[in-house]
Amino acid sequence: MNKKILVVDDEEHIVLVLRKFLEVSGYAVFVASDGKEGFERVKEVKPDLILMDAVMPNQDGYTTVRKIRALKLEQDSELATLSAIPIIVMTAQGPHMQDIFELEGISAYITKPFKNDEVLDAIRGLLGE
Amino acid sequence: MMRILLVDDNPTDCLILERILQKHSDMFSYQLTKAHSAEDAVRMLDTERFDIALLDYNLPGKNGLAILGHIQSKGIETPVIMVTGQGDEQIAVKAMKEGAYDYIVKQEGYAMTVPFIIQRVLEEFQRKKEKERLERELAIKNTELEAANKELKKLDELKSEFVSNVSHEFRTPLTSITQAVELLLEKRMGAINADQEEFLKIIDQDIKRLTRLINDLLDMSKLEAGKIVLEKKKESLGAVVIAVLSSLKTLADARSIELCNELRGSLPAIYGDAERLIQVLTNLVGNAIKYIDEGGTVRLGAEQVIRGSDECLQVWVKDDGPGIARDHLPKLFNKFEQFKRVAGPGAQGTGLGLSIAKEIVELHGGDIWAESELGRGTTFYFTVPLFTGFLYLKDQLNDAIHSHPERPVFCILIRCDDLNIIQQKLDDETRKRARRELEDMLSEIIRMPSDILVELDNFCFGIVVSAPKDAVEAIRKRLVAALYLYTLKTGTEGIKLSFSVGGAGYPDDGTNALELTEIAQGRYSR
Repeated sequence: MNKKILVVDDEEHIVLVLRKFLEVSGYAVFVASDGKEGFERVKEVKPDLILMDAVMPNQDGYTTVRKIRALKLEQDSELATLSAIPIIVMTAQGPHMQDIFELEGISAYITKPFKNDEVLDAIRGLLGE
Repeated sequence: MMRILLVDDNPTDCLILERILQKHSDMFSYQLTKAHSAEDAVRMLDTERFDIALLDYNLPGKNGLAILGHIQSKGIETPVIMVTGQGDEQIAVKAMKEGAYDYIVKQEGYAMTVPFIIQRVLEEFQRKKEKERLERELAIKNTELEAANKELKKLDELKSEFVSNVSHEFRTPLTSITQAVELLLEKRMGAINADQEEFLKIIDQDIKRLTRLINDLLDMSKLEAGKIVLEKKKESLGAVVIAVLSSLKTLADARSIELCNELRGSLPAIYGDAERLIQVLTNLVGNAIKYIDEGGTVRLGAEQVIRGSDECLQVWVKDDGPGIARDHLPKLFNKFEQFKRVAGPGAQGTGLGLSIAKEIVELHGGDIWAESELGRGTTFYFTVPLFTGFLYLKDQLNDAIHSHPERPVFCILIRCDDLNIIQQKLDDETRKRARRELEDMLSEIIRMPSDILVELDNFCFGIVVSAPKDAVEAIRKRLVAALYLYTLKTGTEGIKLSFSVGGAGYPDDGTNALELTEIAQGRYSR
């Protein structure tokens, strides 16, 4: 079965292109348009990996990452395992801007605009493919 | 017409003075008013304006000092000359302290000097008034300038913030465009014909250019806003050059351009931020690759030079391209200046590369310039300081001061006084061991996490301590004791070394960190 990737981004066009690209690369793609929706979709879809935008309305990427990581404390073991899903954060901050304090809990980050190969390399690296 | 108030109860003295003033009436035109008691004098001073007052000290009732006190407390702007009797010098001193401009002792022939003293006091008074006026004006101008400066700074910050936000916003649409074009070009969405492919390639190239422009703009705005802090370390230029050449190899190969690394021999370590220096060199070499003819050569080298009083490496990037016209050279490092050095594929730049390079080089304390002649190629030069313990110590001191402004920062210096003995009598092996032991011992003594040990030279160390003065004194005492023990056991042939421990300066003595290291450098350089 194809591995599941959840894309969380409020930018419609980015989601559209990423989805197409990831699908032709052999993944099952699910999408959410902000952090709140993303967090709900994580529990529902149980993806193998998450691509998360940093700045979004309602709930930003960093907060959402923290919430996902905090699932570790849940009694329900199925929920608790979700806390370990690899998360790649997509940031539009220029190079040299990564704030190390905000990187907590993030598995990898890519800087917008990114190349298709960069995304694929990051995904494959984290999924051990 | 100058108005003189003469306060004296002795009619003879008054008369003599009146005569003398008349005699010297060519010096200044005046009108003399006399008061014979302190009460009269105070009343006149309150109701009329005088340009100068001569106050006799010995008056019936209130004395001259009391009138002076009245003048001062009411803020009356009349300069006072106190007239005292012989043996009353104490009173004269007191009068001067309380604001009199001068004093005259009534002794034989004193009256002759009065016109001259009046003239001098008046001049002094006017000078003082003028100085006060200038100071007031200066203060007003200063406030105005400060306000204007603040406003400018605010505007500049707004501009930087704007540029930063805009570049950030550009990235989002660029992301989907980049990806979509790549997907099409890689034919993942199906076949495309030759024309479509050609146009997509154009789009792809221009997106990359736009991305570079945005990155450069962001960098430039941060450099201008002083938001880029260099992470300076002891670095090797060789490693920087290799990183640059390998990353630009593909670009050079595409135009059959040869990149020659002409670094020769072992160069001393530089003091800089490797990432940023790579950015500078990438700009310079990248420019050369873009602007010169296919099949050309770009050479890269460096030599050790002295600029001013500092030693540095002068790095050069030399190409055999078309060159730059002489009158274009000064404008080369301006923002958005691009010169067509004869037609070529150079139009892919952002026009910011060289100004960014300049900002970075200058942040390092270096210079950047270019030499060129049409038809004879171009050489870019820049300098970067050599690593020295003193430069590093200076930065560490400044860091310590700025990161905890409330804490005092001290610098202790340790130097071996017998460097000659070390050089002559110890073999290499022993010397290395002795130095290592010294360093270990010193790091043992300064155990606070914020304290920093810097090796300045052979057997010469600087320690940055941020602690109360008492604690620093304690460290110093421990250092002296430990160094004494160290001198006893150093060397294989019973050589005893002596050390100086200098508290090169305490900031609460009014010395700042920079002065401190400069003092230290003078005292400790060989």
